[in-house]
Amino acid sequence: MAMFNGRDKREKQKSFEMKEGEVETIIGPSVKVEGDFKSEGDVLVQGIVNGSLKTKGNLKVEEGAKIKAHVESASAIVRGEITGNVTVKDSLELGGSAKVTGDIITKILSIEPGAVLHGHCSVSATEVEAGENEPAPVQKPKKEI
Amino acid sequence: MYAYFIDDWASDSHHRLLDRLDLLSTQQGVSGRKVRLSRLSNVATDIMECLGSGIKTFVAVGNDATASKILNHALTLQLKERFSFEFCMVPLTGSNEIAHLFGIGSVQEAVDALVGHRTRAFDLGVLNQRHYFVTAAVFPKKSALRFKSYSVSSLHQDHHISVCNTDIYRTTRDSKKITPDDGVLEAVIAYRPRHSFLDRVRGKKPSTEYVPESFFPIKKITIKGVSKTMSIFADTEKQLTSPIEVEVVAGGLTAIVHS
Repeated sequence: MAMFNGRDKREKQKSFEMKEGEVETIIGPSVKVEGDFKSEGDVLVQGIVNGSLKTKGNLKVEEGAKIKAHVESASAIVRGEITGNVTVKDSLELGGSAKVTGDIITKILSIEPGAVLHGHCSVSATEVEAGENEPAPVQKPKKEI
Repeated sequence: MYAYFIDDWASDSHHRLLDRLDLLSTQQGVSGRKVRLSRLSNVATDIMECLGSGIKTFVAVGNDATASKILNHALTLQLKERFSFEFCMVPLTGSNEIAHLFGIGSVQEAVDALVGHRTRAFDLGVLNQRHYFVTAAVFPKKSALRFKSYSVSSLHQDHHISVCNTDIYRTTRDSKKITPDDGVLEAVIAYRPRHSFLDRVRGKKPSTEYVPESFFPIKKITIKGVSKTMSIFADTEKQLTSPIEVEVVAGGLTAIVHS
Protein backbone atom coordinates (compact mmCIF):
# COMPACT_ATOMS: atom_id res chain seq x y z
CA MET A 1 0.00 0.00 0.00
CA ALA A 2 1.36 3.36 -0.92
CA MET A 3 0.46 5.86 1.73
CA PHE A 4 1.94 9.31 2.14
CA ASN A 5 2.35 11.39 5.22
CA GLY A 6 2.85 14.91 6.50
CA ARG A 7 3.50 17.71 4.03
CA ASP A 8 3.17 15.52 0.94
CA LYS A 9 -0.25 14.37 2.05
CA ARG A 10 -1.47 17.90 2.75
CA GLU A 11 -0.17 19.13 -0.60
CA LYS A 12 -1.81 16.24 -2.41
CA GLN A 13 -5.14 16.83 -0.71
CA LYS A 14 -4.98 20.56 -1.47
CA SER A 15 -4.33 19.87 -5.14
CA PHE A 16 -7.63 18.13 -5.75
CA GLU A 17 -9.90 20.39 -3.80
CA MET A 18 -12.55 21.66 -6.16
CA LYS A 19 -11.90 25.30 -6.87
CA GLU A 20 -14.81 27.75 -6.77
CA GLY A 21 -16.38 28.25 -10.17
CA GLU A 22 -14.48 25.39 -11.77
CA VAL A 23 -16.95 22.58 -11.06
CA GLU A 24 -18.33 21.54 -14.41
CA THR A 25 -21.30 19.43 -13.36
CA ILE A 26 -23.37 19.63 -10.19
CA ILE A 27 -25.90 16.86 -9.59
CA GLY A 28 -28.08 18.45 -6.94
CA PRO A 29 -29.80 16.67 -4.03
CA SER A 30 -33.20 16.70 -5.76
CA VAL A 31 -32.00 15.13 -8.99
CA LYS A 32 -31.70 11.54 -10.21
CA VAL A 33 -29.35 10.66 -13.07
CA GLU A 34 -29.89 7.37 -14.89
CA GLY A 35 -27.59 5.93 -17.54
CA ASP A 36 -23.94 6.30 -18.46
CA PHE A 37 -22.84 9.65 -17.18
CA LYS A 38 -19.62 10.97 -18.72
CA SER A 39 -17.86 14.23 -18.06
CA GLU A 40 -14.59 15.94 -18.97
CA GLY A 41 -14.42 18.15 -15.87
CA ASP A 42 -15.01 18.15 -12.14
CA VAL A 43 -18.25 16.60 -10.90
CA LEU A 44 -20.05 17.25 -7.63
CA VAL A 45 -22.69 14.69 -6.68
CA GLN A 46 -25.32 15.48 -4.05
CA GLY A 47 -28.20 13.47 -5.49
CA ILE A 48 -28.75 10.00 -6.97
CA VAL A 49 -26.82 8.38 -9.81
CA ASN A 50 -27.73 4.97 -11.27
CA GLY A 51 -25.70 3.40 -14.07
CA SER A 52 -22.09 4.44 -14.50
CA LEU A 53 -20.17 7.59 -13.71
CA LYS A 54 -16.96 8.46 -15.53
CA THR A 55 -15.06 11.71 -15.41
CA LYS A 56 -11.63 12.82 -16.51
CA GLY A 57 -11.68 15.39 -13.73
CA ASN A 58 -12.18 15.19 -9.98
CA LEU A 59 -15.22 13.76 -8.28
CA LYS A 60 -16.78 14.82 -5.02
CA VAL A 61 -19.59 12.76 -3.54
CA GLU A 62 -21.24 14.66 -0.73
CA GLU A 63 -23.00 13.28 2.32
CA GLY A 64 -26.52 12.13 1.42
CA ALA A 65 -25.60 11.32 -2.18
CA LYS A 66 -26.34 7.79 -3.41
CA ILE A 67 -24.46 6.29 -6.32
CA LYS A 68 -25.31 2.85 -7.66
CA ALA A 69 -22.74 2.77 -10.41
CA HIS A 70 -19.23 1.94 -11.45
CA VAL A 71 -17.22 5.05 -10.81
CA GLU A 72 -14.08 6.27 -12.61
CA SER A 73 -12.32 9.56 -11.99
CA ALA A 74 -8.93 11.24 -11.71
CA SER A 75 -9.28 11.95 -7.98
CA ALA A 76 -12.19 11.59 -5.63
CA ILE A 77 -13.48 12.66 -2.25
CA VAL A 78 -16.33 10.46 -1.05
CA ARG A 79 -18.61 11.35 1.84
CA GLY A 80 -21.76 9.69 0.49
CA GLU A 81 -22.81 6.19 -0.49
CA ILE A 82 -21.40 4.26 -3.45
CA THR A 83 -22.55 0.79 -4.48
CA GLY A 84 -20.25 -0.32 -7.26
CA ASN A 85 -16.61 -0.53 -8.15
CA VAL A 86 -14.49 2.58 -7.83
CA THR A 87 -11.44 3.25 -10.00
CA VAL A 88 -9.52 6.39 -9.18
CA LYS A 89 -6.36 7.25 -11.12
CA ASP A 90 -4.77 9.44 -8.49
CA SER A 91 -6.03 9.74 -4.93
CA LEU A 92 -9.21 8.64 -3.22
CA GLU A 93 -10.34 10.02 0.11
CA LEU A 94 -13.12 8.33 2.04
CA GLY A 95 -14.67 10.71 4.55
CA GLY A 96 -16.14 9.70 7.91
CA SER A 97 -19.66 9.42 6.46
CA ALA A 98 -18.61 7.46 3.36
CA LYS A 99 -20.10 4.04 2.66
CA VAL A 100 -18.60 2.08 -0.22
CA THR A 101 -19.84 -1.34 -1.26
CA GLY A 102 -17.57 -2.48 -4.05
CA ASP A 103 -13.96 -2.90 -5.04
CA ILE A 104 -11.54 0.00 -5.04
CA ILE A 105 -8.52 0.51 -7.27
CA THR A 106 -6.47 3.62 -6.68
CA LYS A 107 -2.95 4.98 -6.39
CA ILE A 108 -3.35 6.75 -3.06
CA LEU A 109 -6.05 5.99 -0.50
CA SER A 110 -6.95 7.76 2.70
CA ILE A 111 -9.77 6.64 4.96
CA GLU A 112 -11.20 8.72 7.79
CA PRO A 113 -12.47 7.00 10.94
CA GLY A 114 -16.15 6.10 10.55
CA ALA A 115 -15.97 5.29 6.84
CA VAL A 116 -17.49 1.94 5.83
CA LEU A 117 -15.90 -0.17 3.11
CA HIS A 118 -17.18 -3.55 1.91
CA GLY A 119 -15.02 -4.86 -0.90
CA HIS A 120 -11.56 -5.52 -2.17
CA CYS A 121 -9.07 -2.74 -2.12
CA SER A 122 -6.04 -2.40 -4.40
CA VAL A 123 -3.68 0.49 -3.79
CA SER A 124 -0.54 0.68 -5.87
CA ALA A 125 1.87 3.42 -6.89
CA THR A 126 1.73 2.36 -10.54
CA GLU A 127 -0.64 4.05 -12.98
CA VAL A 128 -4.23 2.91 -12.53
CA GLU A 129 -5.78 2.02 -15.88
CA ALA A 130 -9.42 2.90 -16.44
CA GLY A 131 -11.62 -0.16 -16.76
CA GLU A 132 -9.13 -2.23 -14.85
CA ASN A 133 -11.58 -2.62 -12.04
CA GLU A 134 -13.32 -5.85 -12.86
CA PRO A 135 -15.37 -7.23 -10.01
CA ALA A 136 -13.46 -9.81 -8.00
CA PRO A 137 -14.74 -13.38 -8.38
CA VAL A 138 -17.00 -14.30 -5.53
CA GLN A 139 -15.68 -17.29 -3.62
CA LYS A 140 -18.40 -19.64 -2.57
CA PRO A 141 -18.06 -20.87 1.00
CA LYS A 142 -17.02 -24.51 1.10
CA LYS A 143 -19.72 -26.81 2.32
CA GLU A 144 -18.92 -28.43 5.54
CA ILE A 145 -19.43 -32.19 5.54
CA MET B 1 -23.46 52.55 -40.51
CA TYR B 2 -26.24 51.62 -38.09
CA ALA B 3 -29.82 50.48 -38.38
CA TYR B 4 -32.07 51.09 -35.37
CA PHE B 5 -35.01 48.70 -35.26
CA ILE B 6 -37.57 50.40 -33.05
CA ASP B 7 -40.38 48.28 -31.70
CA ASP B 8 -43.93 49.43 -32.36
CA TRP B 9 -44.87 49.86 -28.70
CA ALA B 10 -41.74 51.93 -28.10
CA SER B 11 -42.65 54.33 -30.91
CA ASP B 12 -46.09 54.74 -29.40
CA SER B 13 -45.31 55.16 -25.70
CA HIS B 14 -41.66 56.09 -25.18
CA HIS B 15 -41.26 59.32 -27.12
CA ARG B 16 -38.97 60.90 -24.55
CA LEU B 17 -36.52 57.98 -24.51
CA LEU B 18 -36.52 57.77 -28.29
CA ASP B 19 -35.93 61.53 -28.57
CA ARG B 20 -33.04 61.16 -26.14
CA LEU B 21 -31.62 58.28 -28.21
CA ASP B 22 -31.98 60.40 -31.34
CA LEU B 23 -30.21 63.35 -29.73
CA LEU B 24 -27.37 61.33 -28.18
CA SER B 25 -26.74 59.24 -31.31
CA THR B 26 -26.62 62.37 -33.48
CA GLN B 27 -24.31 64.16 -31.03
CA GLN B 28 -21.97 61.17 -30.83
CA GLY B 29 -22.03 60.45 -34.56
CA VAL B 30 -23.71 57.05 -34.33
CA SER B 31 -27.06 57.89 -35.84
CA GLY B 32 -28.43 55.71 -38.62
CA ARG B 33 -31.44 54.38 -40.42
CA LYS B 34 -34.57 53.98 -38.30
CA VAL B 35 -36.81 51.04 -38.99
CA ARG B 36 -40.15 50.91 -37.23
CA LEU B 37 -41.26 47.37 -36.43
CA SER B 38 -45.00 47.25 -36.90
CA ARG B 39 -47.06 44.07 -36.86
CA LEU B 40 -47.19 44.01 -40.64
CA SER B 41 -43.56 44.90 -41.30
CA ASN B 42 -41.34 42.31 -42.95
CA VAL B 43 -38.20 42.22 -40.81
CA ALA B 44 -36.28 40.00 -43.25
CA THR B 45 -36.85 42.48 -46.09
CA ASP B 46 -35.84 45.39 -43.85
CA ILE B 47 -32.61 43.57 -42.93
CA MET B 48 -31.85 42.80 -46.58
CA GLU B 49 -32.42 46.44 -47.49
CA CYS B 50 -30.06 47.53 -44.72
CA LEU B 51 -27.40 45.09 -45.91
CA GLY B 52 -27.87 46.40 -49.44
CA SER B 53 -27.11 49.91 -48.18
CA GLY B 54 -23.94 48.70 -46.51
CA ILE B 55 -25.34 48.66 -42.94
CA LYS B 56 -23.80 45.90 -40.87
CA THR B 57 -24.70 46.96 -37.34
CA PHE B 58 -28.23 46.21 -36.23
CA VAL B 59 -29.48 47.89 -33.07
CA ALA B 60 -32.68 46.62 -31.43
CA VAL B 61 -34.57 49.36 -29.56
CA GLY B 62 -37.06 47.94 -27.08
CA ASN B 63 -36.76 44.84 -24.92
CA ASP B 64 -35.71 41.17 -25.14
CA ALA B 65 -38.61 40.34 -27.47
CA THR B 66 -37.46 43.07 -29.89
CA ALA B 67 -33.88 41.79 -29.80
CA SER B 68 -35.05 38.20 -30.27
CA LYS B 69 -37.16 39.18 -33.29
CA ILE B 70 -34.26 40.98 -35.03
CA LEU B 71 -31.69 38.33 -34.16
CA ASN B 72 -33.81 35.40 -35.32
CA HIS B 73 -34.54 37.03 -38.66
CA ALA B 74 -30.91 38.07 -39.15
CA LEU B 75 -29.50 34.67 -38.15
CA THR B 76 -31.98 32.76 -40.33
CA LEU B 77 -31.10 35.02 -43.26
CA GLN B 78 -27.41 34.51 -42.51
CA LEU B 79 -27.84 30.79 -43.18
CA LYS B 80 -29.11 31.51 -46.71
CA GLU B 81 -27.03 34.54 -47.65
CA ARG B 82 -23.53 34.62 -46.25
CA PHE B 83 -23.03 37.94 -44.48
CA SER B 84 -21.64 39.18 -41.19
CA PHE B 85 -23.29 41.62 -38.84
CA GLU B 86 -22.86 43.13 -35.42
CA PHE B 87 -25.63 43.46 -32.92
CA CYS B 88 -26.41 45.93 -30.16
CA MET B 89 -29.35 46.72 -27.95
CA VAL B 90 -30.96 49.87 -26.55
CA PRO B 91 -33.04 48.86 -23.53
CA LEU B 92 -36.21 50.85 -22.96
CA THR B 93 -38.51 49.04 -20.54
CA GLY B 94 -39.58 45.54 -19.53
CA SER B 95 -37.33 42.48 -19.58
CA ASN B 96 -33.85 43.39 -20.77
CA GLU B 97 -31.65 40.38 -20.02
CA ILE B 98 -29.88 40.62 -23.38
CA ALA B 99 -28.92 44.26 -22.81
CA HIS B 100 -27.78 43.28 -19.30
CA LEU B 101 -25.56 40.60 -20.84
CA PHE B 102 -24.01 43.25 -23.09
CA GLY B 103 -23.41 45.46 -20.04
CA ILE B 104 -25.96 48.02 -21.23
CA GLY B 105 -28.42 49.36 -18.67
CA SER B 106 -29.65 52.61 -20.24
CA VAL B 107 -29.95 54.61 -23.46
CA GLN B 108 -26.80 56.54 -22.53
CA GLU B 109 -24.80 53.32 -22.01
CA ALA B 110 -26.08 51.95 -25.32
CA VAL B 111 -24.86 55.05 -27.17
CA ASP B 112 -21.53 54.89 -25.31
CA ALA B 113 -21.19 51.23 -26.37
CA LEU B 114 -21.89 52.12 -30.01
CA VAL B 115 -19.34 54.93 -29.87
CA GLY B 116 -16.71 52.68 -28.23
CA HIS B 117 -17.57 49.86 -30.66
CA ARG B 118 -16.05 47.14 -28.48
CA THR B 119 -17.20 43.78 -29.81
CA ARG B 120 -17.42 40.41 -28.08
CA ALA B 121 -18.46 37.02 -29.40
CA PHE B 122 -21.28 35.26 -27.56
CA ASP B 123 -22.59 31.71 -27.85
CA LEU B 124 -26.14 31.19 -28.99
CA GLY B 125 -28.63 28.46 -28.25
CA VAL B 126 -30.88 27.10 -30.97
CA LEU B 127 -34.15 25.25 -30.42
CA ASN B 128 -35.16 22.63 -33.01
CA GLN B 129 -32.73 24.32 -35.45
CA ARG B 130 -35.28 27.12 -35.75
CA HIS B 131 -35.37 29.55 -32.89
CA TYR B 132 -32.18 31.20 -31.59
CA PHE B 133 -31.77 32.56 -28.08
CA VAL B 134 -29.05 34.53 -26.31
CA THR B 135 -29.80 34.35 -22.59
CA ALA B 136 -31.78 31.22 -21.66
CA ALA B 137 -34.62 28.93 -22.66
CA VAL B 138 -37.02 28.21 -19.80
CA PHE B 139 -39.04 25.02 -20.12
CA PRO B 140 -42.33 24.08 -18.47
CA LYS B 141 -42.42 21.98 -15.33
CA LYS B 142 -42.43 18.19 -15.68
CA SER B 143 -40.10 18.36 -18.70
CA ALA B 144 -37.46 15.64 -18.84
CA LEU B 145 -33.83 16.13 -19.81
CA ARG B 146 -32.28 13.52 -22.10
CA PHE B 147 -28.58 13.57 -22.84
CA LYS B 148 -26.77 11.31 -25.29
CA SER B 149 -26.18 8.47 -22.85
CA TYR B 150 -28.14 9.38 -19.73
CA SER B 151 -31.31 11.05 -18.55
CA VAL B 152 -31.99 13.40 -15.66
CA SER B 153 -35.20 13.48 -13.68
CA SER B 154 -36.29 15.59 -10.78
CA LEU B 155 -37.32 14.09 -7.46
CA HIS B 156 -39.66 17.02 -6.69
CA GLN B 157 -42.56 18.47 -8.66
CA ASP B 158 -41.90 22.17 -8.16
CA HIS B 159 -38.84 22.61 -10.28
CA HIS B 160 -37.72 24.94 -13.00
CA ILE B 161 -35.77 23.64 -16.00
CA SER B 162 -33.79 25.95 -18.18
CA VAL B 163 -30.92 25.88 -20.63
CA CYS B 164 -28.80 28.91 -19.87
CA ASN B 165 -26.13 30.81 -21.73
CA THR B 166 -25.96 33.40 -18.98
CA ASP B 167 -26.85 33.49 -15.30
CA ILE B 168 -30.55 34.40 -15.37
CA TYR B 169 -31.03 33.44 -11.72
CA ARG B 170 -28.51 35.94 -10.31
CA THR B 171 -28.38 33.74 -7.22
CA THR B 172 -26.07 31.18 -8.75
CA ARG B 173 -23.96 29.38 -6.20
CA ASP B 174 -20.33 30.40 -5.91
CA SER B 175 -19.13 26.99 -7.00
CA LYS B 176 -20.64 27.37 -10.47
CA LYS B 177 -20.22 30.16 -12.98
CA ILE B 178 -22.14 30.36 -16.24
CA THR B 179 -20.16 32.07 -18.98
CA PRO B 180 -21.77 33.09 -22.27
CA ASP B 181 -18.69 32.55 -24.44
CA ASP B 182 -17.30 29.16 -23.37
CA GLY B 183 -18.85 27.15 -26.21
CA VAL B 184 -21.27 25.27 -23.96
CA LEU B 185 -24.72 25.90 -22.52
CA GLU B 186 -25.80 24.86 -19.03
CA ALA B 187 -28.89 22.80 -18.37
CA VAL B 188 -30.04 24.06 -14.97
CA ILE B 189 -32.60 22.59 -12.60
CA ALA B 190 -33.77 25.05 -10.00
CA TYR B 191 -36.09 24.79 -7.00
CA ARG B 192 -38.01 27.12 -4.77
CA PRO B 193 -36.64 27.00 -1.21
CA ARG B 194 -38.96 25.07 1.07
CA HIS B 195 -41.34 27.10 3.24
CA SER B 196 -41.29 25.24 6.52
CA PHE B 197 -43.83 25.29 9.32
CA LEU B 198 -41.45 27.40 11.42
CA ASP B 199 -41.17 29.93 8.59
CA ARG B 200 -44.96 30.19 8.52
CA VAL B 201 -45.11 30.63 12.29
CA ARG B 202 -42.50 33.37 12.05
CA GLY B 203 -44.61 35.07 9.37
CA LYS B 204 -41.95 34.64 6.72
CA LYS B 205 -43.37 34.83 3.20
CA PRO B 206 -42.61 31.91 0.86
CA SER B 207 -39.91 32.65 -1.67
CA THR B 208 -41.11 33.08 -5.24
CA GLU B 209 -37.62 32.92 -6.68
CA TYR B 210 -36.04 29.72 -7.91
CA VAL B 211 -32.61 28.72 -6.69
CA PRO B 212 -30.44 26.77 -9.14
CA GLU B 213 -29.29 23.43 -7.79
CA SER B 214 -28.08 21.17 -10.59
CA PHE B 215 -25.92 22.14 -13.55
CA PHE B 216 -25.11 20.04 -16.62
CA PRO B 217 -22.85 21.49 -19.31
CA ILE B 218 -24.25 20.67 -22.75
CA LYS B 219 -23.60 21.02 -26.44
CA LYS B 220 -26.74 19.19 -27.46
CA ILE B 221 -29.70 17.99 -25.44
CA THR B 222 -33.23 16.74 -26.00
CA ILE B 223 -36.00 17.97 -23.76
CA LYS B 224 -39.27 16.10 -23.70
CA GLY B 225 -42.47 17.63 -22.44
CA VAL B 226 -45.70 16.13 -21.19
CA SER B 227 -47.77 17.55 -24.07
CA LYS B 228 -46.99 17.65 -27.81
CA THR B 229 -46.56 21.40 -27.97
CA MET B 230 -44.49 23.19 -25.37
CA SER B 231 -44.59 26.82 -24.44
CA ILE B 232 -41.00 27.95 -23.96
CA PHE B 233 -39.60 31.26 -22.92
CA ALA B 234 -36.40 31.78 -24.90
CA ASP B 235 -35.79 35.55 -24.84
CA THR B 236 -39.42 35.70 -25.98
CA GLU B 237 -42.36 33.30 -25.70
CA LYS B 238 -42.37 30.49 -28.24
CA GLN B 239 -44.54 27.44 -28.99
CA LEU B 240 -42.54 24.46 -30.18
CA THR B 241 -43.23 20.78 -30.77
CA SER B 242 -41.89 18.27 -28.28
CA PRO B 243 -39.26 16.78 -28.13
CA ILE B 244 -37.10 19.86 -28.40
CA GLU B 245 -33.46 19.68 -29.38
CA VAL B 246 -31.28 22.39 -27.92
CA GLU B 247 -27.87 23.00 -29.47
CA VAL B 248 -25.12 25.50 -28.92
CA VAL B 249 -23.78 27.73 -31.68
CA ALA B 250 -20.37 28.63 -30.29
CA GLY B 251 -19.47 32.28 -30.87
CA GLY B 252 -22.54 32.65 -33.09
CA LEU B 253 -23.19 36.28 -32.22
CA THR B 254 -20.92 39.29 -32.42
CA ALA B 255 -22.28 41.97 -30.14
CA ILE B 256 -21.24 45.49 -29.29
CA VAL B 257 -20.78 45.66 -25.54
CA HIS B 258 -20.43 48.42 -22.99
CA SER B 259 -16.99 48.39 -21.37
